[in-house]
Amino acid sequence: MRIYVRPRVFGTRNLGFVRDARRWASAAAENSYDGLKCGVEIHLQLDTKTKLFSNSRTSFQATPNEHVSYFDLALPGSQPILNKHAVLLALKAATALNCKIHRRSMFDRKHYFYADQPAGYQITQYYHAIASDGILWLQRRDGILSRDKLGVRIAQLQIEQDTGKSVYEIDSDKSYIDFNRTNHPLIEIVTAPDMKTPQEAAAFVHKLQTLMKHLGVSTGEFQSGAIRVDVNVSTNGGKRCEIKNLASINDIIYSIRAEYNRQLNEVSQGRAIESVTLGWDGHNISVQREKEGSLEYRYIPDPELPPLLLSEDIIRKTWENQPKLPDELIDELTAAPHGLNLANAQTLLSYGLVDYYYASYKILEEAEIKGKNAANWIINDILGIVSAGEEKLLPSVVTPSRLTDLIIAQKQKTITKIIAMNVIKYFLQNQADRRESAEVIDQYQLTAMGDSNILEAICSNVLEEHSDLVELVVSGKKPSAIKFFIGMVMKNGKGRFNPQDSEATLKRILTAQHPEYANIQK
Amino acid sequence: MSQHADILLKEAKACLSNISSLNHRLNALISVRPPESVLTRVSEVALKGTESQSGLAGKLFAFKDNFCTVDQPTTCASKMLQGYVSPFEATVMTRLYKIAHAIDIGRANMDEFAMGTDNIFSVYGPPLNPLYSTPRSAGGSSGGSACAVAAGMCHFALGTDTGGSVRLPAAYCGVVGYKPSYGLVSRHGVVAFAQSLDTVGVFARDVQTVREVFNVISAYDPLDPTSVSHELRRQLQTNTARRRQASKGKYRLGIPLEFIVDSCSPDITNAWAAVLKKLRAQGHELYAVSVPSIKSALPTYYVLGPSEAASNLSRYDGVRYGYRANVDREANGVLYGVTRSEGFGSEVRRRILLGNYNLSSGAFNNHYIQAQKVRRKLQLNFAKVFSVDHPLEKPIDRDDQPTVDFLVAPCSTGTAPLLSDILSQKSPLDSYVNDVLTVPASLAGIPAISIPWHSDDGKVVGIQVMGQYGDDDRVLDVSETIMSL
Repeated sequence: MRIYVRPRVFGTRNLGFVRDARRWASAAAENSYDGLKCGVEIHLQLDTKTKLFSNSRTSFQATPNEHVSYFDLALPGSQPILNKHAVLLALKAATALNCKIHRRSMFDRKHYFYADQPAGYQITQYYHAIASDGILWLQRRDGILSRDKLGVRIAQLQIEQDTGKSVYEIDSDKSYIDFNRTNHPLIEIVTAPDMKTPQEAAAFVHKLQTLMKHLGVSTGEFQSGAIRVDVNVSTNGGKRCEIKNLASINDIIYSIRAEYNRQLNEVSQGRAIESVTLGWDGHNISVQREKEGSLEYRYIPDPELPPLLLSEDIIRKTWENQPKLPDELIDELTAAPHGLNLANAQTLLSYGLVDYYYASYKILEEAEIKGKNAANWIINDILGIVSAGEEKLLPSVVTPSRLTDLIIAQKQKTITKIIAMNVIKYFLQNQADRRESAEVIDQYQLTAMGDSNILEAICSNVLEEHSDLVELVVSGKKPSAIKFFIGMVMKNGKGRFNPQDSEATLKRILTAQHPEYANIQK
Repeated sequence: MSQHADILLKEAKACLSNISSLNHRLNALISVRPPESVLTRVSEVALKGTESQSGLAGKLFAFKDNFCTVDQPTTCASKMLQGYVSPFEATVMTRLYKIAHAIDIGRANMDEFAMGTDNIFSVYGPPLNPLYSTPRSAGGSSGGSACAVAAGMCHFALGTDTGGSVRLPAAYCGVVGYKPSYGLVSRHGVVAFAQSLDTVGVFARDVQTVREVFNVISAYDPLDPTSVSHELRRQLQTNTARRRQASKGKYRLGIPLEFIVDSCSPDITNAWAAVLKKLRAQGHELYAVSVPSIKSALPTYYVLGPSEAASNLSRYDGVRYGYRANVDREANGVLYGVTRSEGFGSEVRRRILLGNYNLSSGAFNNHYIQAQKVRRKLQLNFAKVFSVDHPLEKPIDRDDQPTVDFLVAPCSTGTAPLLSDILSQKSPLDSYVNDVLTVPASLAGIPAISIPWHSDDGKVVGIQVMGQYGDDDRVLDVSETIMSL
C-alpha cells in the first residue's frame, strides 16, 4: 500500500540475518498476549538491474538523481514499459509462498500528492494482483514458542512502484528530492492476522527475509530499506491499528508489545480502540493519524498498461525451476551426513553459501577427508576474516577447488591454517589471479616447515627476548603464558610453523634450560 | 535545380506567405519557424531528392502543441507548461523528420491539454476559422492544426483525437481529418489527456496526403505500451489486400440510425442525404443499421475521459517543471492547490473535478465501472456491424441486420458556430453535446475520418466514415471515393 520514506542514515554492514531466533524469542517470552492478533504488510524491493517501468538502473546510495529516466520524473509524454525481470521475481516469490498465481493481473494507479511521488500516483495492483491466497509455514526452530507449527496465510502479493526520497535540510525550510528510488520495483505481501505474539510476527518476517534472499528475489536488508514492515495489531477482536515502517526485527517485537499494552490500557480505562495509524520511534508508540477510511486514493486501472498475462508455461517453469527452499536445506544440513547444528546451518543459508559448502563437501569426501571440515572452515574461520559483502564472492573467488586444496594441504600439514587464511585473503584482494591454491603456495613459498633448526632458532630468540615471561612460565606462576610464545613464534615464522610443532619445541628448550619446568607440565 | 525542387520551393513560399499574412488574425500557429530556415531546409531536402524519397520530402507541416520536441517549449496551450522544453522527441515527430524528410513550420494552437470542442480554452486565445470572415470556431481541440491546413499554411498537420478533436475541427474548417485505429500510431512523446482514447490524427486537404502521412507514422513503437505489434500489422495488411480484391471498389455502406439526432441542423442532414444519394448512384449499396450502445456513448465518454485526465494531470505540481505558484500550500494546507488552480484554465479544472468525482470511492462503482461496461458493449456492437471481422475479437455472431463495410454519418451537429455564440452559452456542458457524433468511434477505437463536403448552397460540412478496427487503408479508399463525388 503506501510507501514511507525513512529519513535515516543507512549502515552498510550486512548484519542481522543470522541471529539465533531464540534470542529475540526469549526477549518477550515472559509476557502473555491473550487476545492479540497481528498481520503484517511487507514491502520488498526486488533485486532487478533496472526499474519497474523504465530502463534506468536501480541503485542504493548513488549520487542523488543519477539514475532517473523521463518516466521516473513523470515528464509529459513519457510512458511505462514493464520490466519483465521484475515480474519473474514476483512470480518466484509467489511460487515459494504457495500462492495462487493469477494468469491475468492488472496495474492500477493510486493517487496522492507528495513531492517524492512525481506522477501524483503510484502504480500498484489494487483490483487484480498477480498472486493471492498463499501460506508460509513456521516451525519452532524459526522462533515460534507456543506451538509446533504456524501457517501464516498470505492474503495478497502485488507488484508496485517505490517512491523517491525526500531529504530535509536541518534548520531550513527547504527539502530536496532524490528520484533514484522512484519506480524501483517492489512487491507488497499482505498476511492474514495469523500471528498471536510479537515473536511470531518477528519469526515470520525473519523467515520471509531469508526465503526471499535465498531466492534472489530481494536482498531483504532492513538497513538499505530493501524490506519495510508495517504491522496490524488488534486485541480481543477489536479494531485494527497499524504500526508503520518498522526497521528491524527488534522494532517489530517491541512495538507490538507496546501497542498491545496501549490497547489493553485504553480498554481498561473504558475507552474504545479507534482504528489509527501509529509510529514507533524505537521506544514509544504514538498515534500518527486517523486510519485509511478517511483517505481517498481514487484508484483507477492504468489506462495504458496492458493486462499482465502469464502463460501456463511460465507458471509451470517457475514451479519446476524452484530451488530447494531454506526449510529443506536446513533439514539436510542438520541431518547425517552433515550433522551441522542449527545455527551453523542457518549461517550457511543466510550467507547463500549452502551450494558452496556442498561442492566443497563433495571434493573433500572424494579426497577421503571429512567433508564437514568445509563447514567449519567457512563458518568459524573464513567468515571471521572476510569483510562485509565479501561473503558472496567466496563461491566465485575462493572456489570450492581452491578452498578444498587449502583444507587438504592443512590437514596434510603442508601449510598452516594461518597461511591458508592468508591465501584466502590474497585471493579476495587479487581477483585477477586465477591460479589454483597450490601454485600460489609454491610461488610464495608458504609450505609449512616442520621441526627444524630454523624453528629451534626462532624459539630460542623469542625466549631470550622475553626472559621475564620465561620465569613466570617455568615457575608455574602463569603457565598459560606459553601461548604468548607460540604466538610470537607464529609471527616471527611468518605463519609457516604449526602451532603444535612450535609448542613442542618451546617446551623442549624450556625444559632443557629449566628442569623444574618438567614438573610444572605434569 | 530540378523541376520537382522548384515546385517544392514554390509551394513552401506560398505556405510561408500565408503564414505571414494570415496567422496574426487566425492565430493558428503559436510558434512559427523563421521563413529563411524553412526555405533552407526545403532546398536541402529538394537537392537530395530522389525518386525513392517519400512523397512528403520537403513538404511542410504543423503539429499540435502537445507533441514533444526538443528545441521549442511543449506547452499544451497551458500556463502550467509555460516554457517547458522536453528533453525527448515524440516518435511521430522523429519519423516525420528522419524518414519522411518533412519540415515543420511551427506549433499549432489547441484547447488546453486537448480539452475542448471549439479551441476557446487556450492560453494563446482561440484560432479563427479561415473559411469565414466573421469570427467562427475552428473546432477543437486540434483547432490550430485544422486552421493551418485550411488556410494553406502547410501541406498537412498533426493533431490528437480523444473524442473527436481531429474530426470536428476538420469538419468545421473543411479539410480532411483522420483518426486512425487506436494503437497504430505511437503516442510516445504525445502529452496524455486520456490514454485509452488518445489517438494521433492527421489533417490535409486531400486524402492522398493523409495516406502518405499515415504510412510514415503508423509503425510499431517499443516505447509505447499500447503500440500494435508487428505481427498484427502484417495481418492487417494481408486483410486489406484480400478485402480490396473482393470488393472491387463497390461497398456496402451503413447508415447508423443512432446518428440521426434531434440536435442536427438541416445543413448537416441535407449534406448527409446528398452524399448518400450520390454514393448509391455510383453503385454502392446502402443499409440502415443500428449500433444501440451509441446512445450511451456521450455520458460514457464524459466519465472515462475526465477520469483518466484527472489521473494524468496529477503530475503537474510545479515541483520538477512547469508553472509553480509563489506558495506551495493553500491557506487550508492543501499541497499544490495554488499552483494547480493558477496553472490550469477553467475547462481543465472542471474536467479534473469531474474525473476525481468519478474516481472517488463513493462514485467509482456507479460511474467508472459502469462506463467501462458500456464501452465494452459499444465495442462489441461496433465490431459486429461490420462485414469484416475485428482482428482482436473472437468471431461474433452477427444479428439479423445486414453487415456493412463502412458507416457513413455526419461529423458534427452543425457547421462552425460563431465564437460570440459559444462564449454566451449558459453552460459549458452545451459544447459537450457537440461530441455526440464523434465519441462513439473514439470509445470503440475504430478508424474514423471527416471528409469535407461542400453543399450546393455553399455550406461546408464534415462527413464521417467509420470502419472496422484495423481497416484503415480501406477507410481511406472509400474516403477518396467520397472526396471525388
